[in-house]
Amino acid sequence: MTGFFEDHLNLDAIVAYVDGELSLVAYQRAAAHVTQCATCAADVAEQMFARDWLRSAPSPRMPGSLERSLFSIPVAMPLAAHHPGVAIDSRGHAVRVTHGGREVTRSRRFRFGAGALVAGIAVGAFATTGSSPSDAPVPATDVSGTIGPASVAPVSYQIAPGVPSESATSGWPTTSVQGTR
Amino acid sequence: MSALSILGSNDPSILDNSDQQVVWTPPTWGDIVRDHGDRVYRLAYRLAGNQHDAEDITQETFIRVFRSLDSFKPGSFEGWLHRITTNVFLDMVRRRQRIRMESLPEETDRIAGREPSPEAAWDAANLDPDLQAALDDLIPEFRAALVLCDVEGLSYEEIGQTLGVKLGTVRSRIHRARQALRTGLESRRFMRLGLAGGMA
Repeated sequence: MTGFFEDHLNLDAIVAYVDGELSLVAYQRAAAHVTQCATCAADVAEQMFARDWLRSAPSPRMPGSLERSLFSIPVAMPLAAHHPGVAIDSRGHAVRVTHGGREVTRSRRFRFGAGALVAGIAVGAFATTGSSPSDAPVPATDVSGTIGPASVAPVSYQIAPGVPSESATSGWPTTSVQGTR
Repeated sequence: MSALSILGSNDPSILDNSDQQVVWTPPTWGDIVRDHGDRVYRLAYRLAGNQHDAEDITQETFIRVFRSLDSFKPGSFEGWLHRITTNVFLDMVRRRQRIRMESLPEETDRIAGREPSPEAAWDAANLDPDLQAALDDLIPEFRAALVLCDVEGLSYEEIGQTLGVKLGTVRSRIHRARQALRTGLESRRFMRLGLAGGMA
């Protein structure tokens, strides 16, 4: 049956045909071929089946707890100069001083549990700064979205209960800050 | 349109053609999370295949967005988010591959004691486990191309930009990923039928 058509559509043409990514002329030629070629028609059907299966699948919605974490990002990475409990270290990095003994600097997956401690500040703080979160004095490195080795957050966190100033935090371990670059 | 009216507008789409240096005014953080949170999470979930990793990817994505907001140039915010999300995912995959090659115990960085949320239970029941399992079997780079195409509805060109690959690569990845998806589904259904037949 299909021997009559010597030139089957190649894989690129099949997938582009299914996704409407061919030019009009190429699309018409492909369509004419597919109507008469069982092999290519089966290939097209397989592609469409997978596409429709994915398209029609229900979408997961983000859990409420995650949404709250996302809202609190400006709290966990605040405007250093404007908030109590935050200082700039000698290297110009934002350093947060907070309660607890968990060192979170190196973890890419830090939670905002500590941030939740100052969630009370969050509302007020963000109300005054929320319109311009970009003022944060942190280096912006990821515009392109590419991720290099320096993907550790430039904002560092040190643990120093209730000691807001830089001089007071100097007695605390600084390895976390130095280790970020 | 006068320069004054351009200056008075926040619409990024008309700023590109302006000779004036117009500073882009970012939306509030709350708006960004509300407008894009579910979209990023959906992409992350389909890429990673489970709620735990999807949450981590989403969170990391928004942290990077927050840190880079002031250098974001007017353009497609969605495209920017797609790129960051996909890169965070591929980064995670490669990191785990490295960890496995170094023969460390798996899942060393999981945080213990996390309870499955009500949403997780809903997801498990409603998000077509066969589909996600078939997706999980794909090579991560192929899965990314397919999800960007069929879940996010991106064009081949946009997918190529997101993944940093050529159009021909995008086409072949999508084609092969769909073939594998179909095969994976059929084998799962076959297995289930076989099991059911064996039980009867």
